[in-house]
Amino acid sequence: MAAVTKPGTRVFLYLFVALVLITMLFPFYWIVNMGLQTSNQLYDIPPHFWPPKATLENFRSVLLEERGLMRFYEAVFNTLIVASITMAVCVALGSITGYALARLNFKYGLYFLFVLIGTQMVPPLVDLIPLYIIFSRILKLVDTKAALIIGYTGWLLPISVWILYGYFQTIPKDLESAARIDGCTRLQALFRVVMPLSAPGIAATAIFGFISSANEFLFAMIFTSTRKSITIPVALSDMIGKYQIRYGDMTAGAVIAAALPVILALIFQKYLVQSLTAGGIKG
Amino acid sequence: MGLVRTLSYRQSFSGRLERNEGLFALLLVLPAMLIVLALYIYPLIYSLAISFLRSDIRYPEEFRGLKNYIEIFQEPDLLVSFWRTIYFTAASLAIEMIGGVAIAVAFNNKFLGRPAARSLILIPWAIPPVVNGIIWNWLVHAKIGVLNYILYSLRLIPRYKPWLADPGWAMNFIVLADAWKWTPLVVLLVLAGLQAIPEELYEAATIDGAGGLAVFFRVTLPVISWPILVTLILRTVEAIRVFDIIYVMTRGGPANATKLTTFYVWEIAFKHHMMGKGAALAWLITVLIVVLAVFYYRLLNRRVEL
Amino acid sequence: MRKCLALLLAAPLLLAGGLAAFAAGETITVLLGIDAAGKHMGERAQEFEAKTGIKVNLVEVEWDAMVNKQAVALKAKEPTYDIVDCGSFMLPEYVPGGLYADISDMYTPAERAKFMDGMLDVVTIGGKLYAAPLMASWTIMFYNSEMFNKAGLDPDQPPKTWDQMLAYGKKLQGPTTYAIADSLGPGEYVTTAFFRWAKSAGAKISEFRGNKVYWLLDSPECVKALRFLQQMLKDGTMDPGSPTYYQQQIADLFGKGQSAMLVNWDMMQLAFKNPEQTPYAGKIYPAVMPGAKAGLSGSIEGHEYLAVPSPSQHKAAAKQFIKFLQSPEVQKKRALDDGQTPVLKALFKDPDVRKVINLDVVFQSAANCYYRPAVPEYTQCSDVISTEVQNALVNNKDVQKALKDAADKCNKLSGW
Repeated sequence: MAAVTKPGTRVFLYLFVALVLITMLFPFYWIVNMGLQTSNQLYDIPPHFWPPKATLENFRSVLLEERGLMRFYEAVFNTLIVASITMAVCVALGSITGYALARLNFKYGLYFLFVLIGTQMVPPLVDLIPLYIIFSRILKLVDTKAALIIGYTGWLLPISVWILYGYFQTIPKDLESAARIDGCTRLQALFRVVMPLSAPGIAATAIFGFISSANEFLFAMIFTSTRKSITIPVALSDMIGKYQIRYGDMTAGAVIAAALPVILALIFQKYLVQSLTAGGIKG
Repeated sequence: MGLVRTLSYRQSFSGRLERNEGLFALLLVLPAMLIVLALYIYPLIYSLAISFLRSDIRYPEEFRGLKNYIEIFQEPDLLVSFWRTIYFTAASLAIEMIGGVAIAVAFNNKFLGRPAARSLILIPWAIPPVVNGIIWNWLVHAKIGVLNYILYSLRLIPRYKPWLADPGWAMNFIVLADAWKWTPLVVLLVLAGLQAIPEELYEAATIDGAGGLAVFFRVTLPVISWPILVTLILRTVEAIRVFDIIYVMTRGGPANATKLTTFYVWEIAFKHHMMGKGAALAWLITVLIVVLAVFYYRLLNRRVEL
Repeated sequence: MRKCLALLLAAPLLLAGGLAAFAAGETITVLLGIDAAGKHMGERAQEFEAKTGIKVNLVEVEWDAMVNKQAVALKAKEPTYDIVDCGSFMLPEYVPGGLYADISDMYTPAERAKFMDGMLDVVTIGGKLYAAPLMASWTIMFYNSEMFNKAGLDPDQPPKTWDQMLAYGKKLQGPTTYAIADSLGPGEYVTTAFFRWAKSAGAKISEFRGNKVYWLLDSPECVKALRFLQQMLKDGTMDPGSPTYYQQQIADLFGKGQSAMLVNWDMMQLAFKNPEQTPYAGKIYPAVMPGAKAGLSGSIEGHEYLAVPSPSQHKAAAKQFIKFLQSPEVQKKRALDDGQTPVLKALFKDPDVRKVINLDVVFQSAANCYYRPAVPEYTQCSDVISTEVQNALVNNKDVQKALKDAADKCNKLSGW
């Protein structure tokens, strides 16, 4: 790593980093600040940089009170279920597929990889309309969590495979061969040797899948209608424009919506970085 | 291979799997392949088929040939929306790239609190785009926005300005909101590339008498050109698909200034109920992306050779 | 033995569960815009459940989102909703496709006569009734009498003409407050705002020729109205943030004193008497919107109707709920609790209702109201008008040209 040693430059470095951190974190700090104020305080001019009397009232009321659509905690519940199951399926299918492509001699493998990359070019938007028609008229699955899970799995599977494929390639083949010689079948080798070693890659795929599903909006908006299936982003957007909603509620909801993926990202960021960069550096 | 195998095992299914790598691989890949086929390829083709129909809630379905596409090209604002999308993508990418690389270079140095800083930077990326839009909406709000307050207190503006009511500023703010969210990703990717540069390269350069900037351009930049290009591709595809921020911040306004093409697709298909036309427009966007991807791919190959 | 025991224990539980589900009765899902719902729809739903055992699952969202959800559900012919909120101008979109159920059998002729004149006619197509009136509604103007007082204006004399409004405006403007605010947000909001102002300039806006609608958006009166709007935004009479506001937002801002006058739905009368909504509670008065000349005024009708989607599987229960909401008791409660103008003629003479809702102002506004044409292409036309009007307001496009472009495009959509 290039070392910046001159004291003058170091001061500049610290200033720059401080500036960067302020820019990156200010909006998040601001919404938390807003969430802790009451709705009336939010209308004060000049705005408060610090909640005058920090209160959790907004969080309580948005989560628990009936808001004519649902209680927000139902949206949280839906989101958790959809995101978790999607994540699990993507990890499971992604790992076995990635393994097959990385390790096994498989003449169609290259074609399949090609197709996977190709799918990333296609904006999900193009699929949205026919998927909507299929889901609604044929499968009658609209307004269900299942629809979201299926849709998100399809959307995130290619990239899950890609990440894990990259990961499996970095694991030395000898370890596997050693296991096989010791008497493991292929499947056993896969589960007992390769998987544990790829834990970071798997964790990365899991987190990526979870966060992507939890944050997705367009698909969710079209495919959900009622509290049975509404996820957090849709619940939030439905709040916009309500005159009788206290704006405190909306900001509290926003904080909750943001907190979930942020906390996950912070805890697992080591794996995230590894996964994202694995694809990036290797090329 | 099979010293321990008994005859019966070899004849069993798992025995066959052991020997036939291809079959095993096929089985593993099959579920994913089916899903991708069902949820990506099939809808894609279906979408193409619909784009030739009039698929409207109010009228019976009928074949329209290329009429949907022709109508799209006859709609002046739709074509303008492509330009807006290009502007949005370019502006957003510029900020993300320049900012991202600069921040990555800075973070490549050891300083107090670096691990914490690196973690905190992830926060904008993790926030749902909907929340992103809400936050920025409030930051630039005409009455209670903190931006207005700060600028007004510093006497930089004569009175509070409704930023999102101004077409130019509305567009620039959605660019900012988007760039803010994605710059951390660029930082991470570039930083990873930077940290792969061995120390000796830098030492060699300084021994040869190269100054800071020269080191950057001759040593650093070429090595991170790969992650930069990868990011470029990823971000371009993402930027063309942006929807959440627009829906929450401006709904395409004012006066269509922020109506990007993807937003149009949603409006045509789900607000005006003209699914055929919406599918046609979505296909045009896909073609655009593929063209860009091919372009990037060529660029990539040439850089690698360099 | 253990297995038998387990089965024995499980069976009654299952039975109980099954019975409970059966006895719980039906559930109907009702999609409402927040204006139609008001703050107390949840309570009404609970009263209904207490009376009939039918559970009501309420979905309340703002207008645009409600329209979108409805469109998505109907297009897919899903049975998600048993009742949907609609405006009369939405019927041509869904009735031809058979997506709203025919509810002509809900009312006897005697019952029909109880409703306000004309309300049933606009939702009768081909002799069949497709929607039931829930609430009458027009836009009116509100003004903050305390701010008037402070500016030295007579709080009992709201402006009646545009010139008066401008004159008042000069006195009411402050560094962060404006004389008037309007909801000029993209979409239906700015379109209806334009219709209101055009009507108060005396414009005709559109007319039916045969069974097609012909748009007269570039008539001199329309041009005058849009020019006036443009001017008000430029000279600060009208809050320049208006092109980003939706109706609900400015109600809040107005309540906090950011502007002295406001155009909004009549039901806000009650909200503005509530200290929780505004510190100026009780000091906000309704008035008729000023016209270009004395005697002119403009308003938009926003009658809320309830329709039963054809795919619904609980039509009978849905109709029960609709009738419940239309009963005199509930209509009166909605008037007194939420300021929602009832649809039953009998209640117009009720003194309690008159105390809460200034029906004079409401009906005067009604006399000058523009009815949005009930044609299938209305949504697209509305988007066209929205774009062009915002072009004039925000991009300084020439008003005449903007309206001519809008008229040409709309007429093309309407088949001319």
